[in-house]
Amino acid sequence: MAFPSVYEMTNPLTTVRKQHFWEYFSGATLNSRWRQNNITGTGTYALADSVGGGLVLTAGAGGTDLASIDFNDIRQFSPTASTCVVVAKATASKQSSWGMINTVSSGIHGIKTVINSTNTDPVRLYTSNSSETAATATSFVCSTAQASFNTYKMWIESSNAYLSINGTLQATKSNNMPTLKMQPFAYSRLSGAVTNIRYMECYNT
Amino acid sequence: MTKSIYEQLPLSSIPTSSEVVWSDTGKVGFTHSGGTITRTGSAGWGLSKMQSDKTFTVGEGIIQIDFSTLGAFASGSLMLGLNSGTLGYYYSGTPYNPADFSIYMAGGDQVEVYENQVKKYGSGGGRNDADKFRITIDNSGIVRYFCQPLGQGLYDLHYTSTVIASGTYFIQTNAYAGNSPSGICSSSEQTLPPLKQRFVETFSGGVLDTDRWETKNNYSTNTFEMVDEIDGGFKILNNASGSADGQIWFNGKDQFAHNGSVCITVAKAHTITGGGEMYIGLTNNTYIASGSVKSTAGIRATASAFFVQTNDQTTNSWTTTGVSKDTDWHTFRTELNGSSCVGTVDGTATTTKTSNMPISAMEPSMEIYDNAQEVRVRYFEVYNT
Repeated sequence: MAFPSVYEMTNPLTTVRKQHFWEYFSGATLNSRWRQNNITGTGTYALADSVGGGLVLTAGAGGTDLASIDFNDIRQFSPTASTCVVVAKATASKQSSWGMINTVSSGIHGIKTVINSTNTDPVRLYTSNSSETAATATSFVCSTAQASFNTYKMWIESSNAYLSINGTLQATKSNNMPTLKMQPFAYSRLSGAVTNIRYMECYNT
Repeated sequence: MTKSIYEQLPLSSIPTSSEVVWSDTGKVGFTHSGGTITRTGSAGWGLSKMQSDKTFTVGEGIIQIDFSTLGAFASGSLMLGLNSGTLGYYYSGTPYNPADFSIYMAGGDQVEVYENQVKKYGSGGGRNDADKFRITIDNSGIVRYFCQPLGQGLYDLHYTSTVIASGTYFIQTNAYAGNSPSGICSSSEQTLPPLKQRFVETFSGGVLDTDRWETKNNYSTNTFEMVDEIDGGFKILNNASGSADGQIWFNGKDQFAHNGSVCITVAKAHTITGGGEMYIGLTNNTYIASGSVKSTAGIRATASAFFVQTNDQTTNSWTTTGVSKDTDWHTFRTELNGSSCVGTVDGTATTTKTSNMPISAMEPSMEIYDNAQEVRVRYFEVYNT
């Protein structure tokens, strides 16, 4: 079905469109809208020269190194009504994460998917408020997330957060919900961890 | 199967649907007049079949058929859709070849999808005689079923087939009840024309994309920055103590037609007071507020109202939209069609301006004039038509 405008794909003209962005991670370099944020160590941020490769986000070699991308603390997304869609792949035996958060370095006030370092662990949905992060496990194991690209959709409502993977609802949680505005982010963590991201979309609902 | 954005959205033109031309070859139990069909004869699924004169091949353009029942239709049972091979009956009869993709319009669910006589989807609810239906097959063979409730507004997607269409199809209709069901049907094929110039900017991120936009201090100094607020977008703040003028634009790259383009923005006159002015839309030059020679078409805000503004490189003029200026976010749309500039605010207030139309290609621009004024934007889309 053809739409005359991109605007009208998601909203009629009688609805004032809220903040909404999407990123294809295609091109020669990472767009300057993203901050390359080395939380620990020095990572690399390169567009892949491979079919479907997207952005290759690689942590430094240190055992606790963490390399991330974010919006330089320009936080335009709601902690109570927003959605984040990511198409990504993680690395075996390392940690990857993506979603929306207030502050990447402290991990406070956010909603994120975490692929853990142990391959048989479940992929987890995390939400965080000011003091702690709590996880809800899914039936989707990390080894699957590490083997191929999958579509992760996280969305947050006034009292619940959700994660679907490849269109199937995997987790719902209602504790430790964020209360501060958020920005998109992704990170690779632990020595040489690699995350491939080829699509990210965030919008307020 | 993944569908391309190219195919989904930015068709520069959508062909007008035409009435289906029905074939008399093999026809049983139907009459037709233009796009209107009428069931005749005795009741029975094995006593009715008819097909379109035209065939449609997957991959040669988007196939779309629209149809509805005609008038009161409480007791009829009309099946309409797309089939391949030989014209068939829905149930019994020879050859028995039910439609590959069809919608059943009867007294059951609002939308009932049948594929090769098997019910694949039921929406629940009840069908209204005014409901309209649509089946599409895209170039990759994905079949989608839609309904436009009461024949008004957008078509809602109800079901996407798990079967990928391939080859050549004709439109097929079958009906059970004799002498009652009638329907109207149109069809179209959409080929993919070369995509015309289009851009979308969502003003999200740590900084403005200066590979695309140039920030310009036309007069004095201004602040250009992303807004660290939920739904904040991007702002230009005129922070001079006296008159100043700030603008973002494409640095002179004029890719959009003065006589065939659409501009959609979401913006707010955050602070427009006194002699302050905001402009958002298309131009071919800088410093729009100066009113000098340039082509311009867009939305202007003053302290009192929103206007549709145009400039024909001789005269700069504006017509009120009838919407008072406020500090809310609004969706502004202006369309240039060669003879007029049609502006809407939030999809409703429509203003048509025909004087001083722009005469040359233009580019996106947002500008603010005077001191201590501020304008914000979080969406900007322009495309040629």
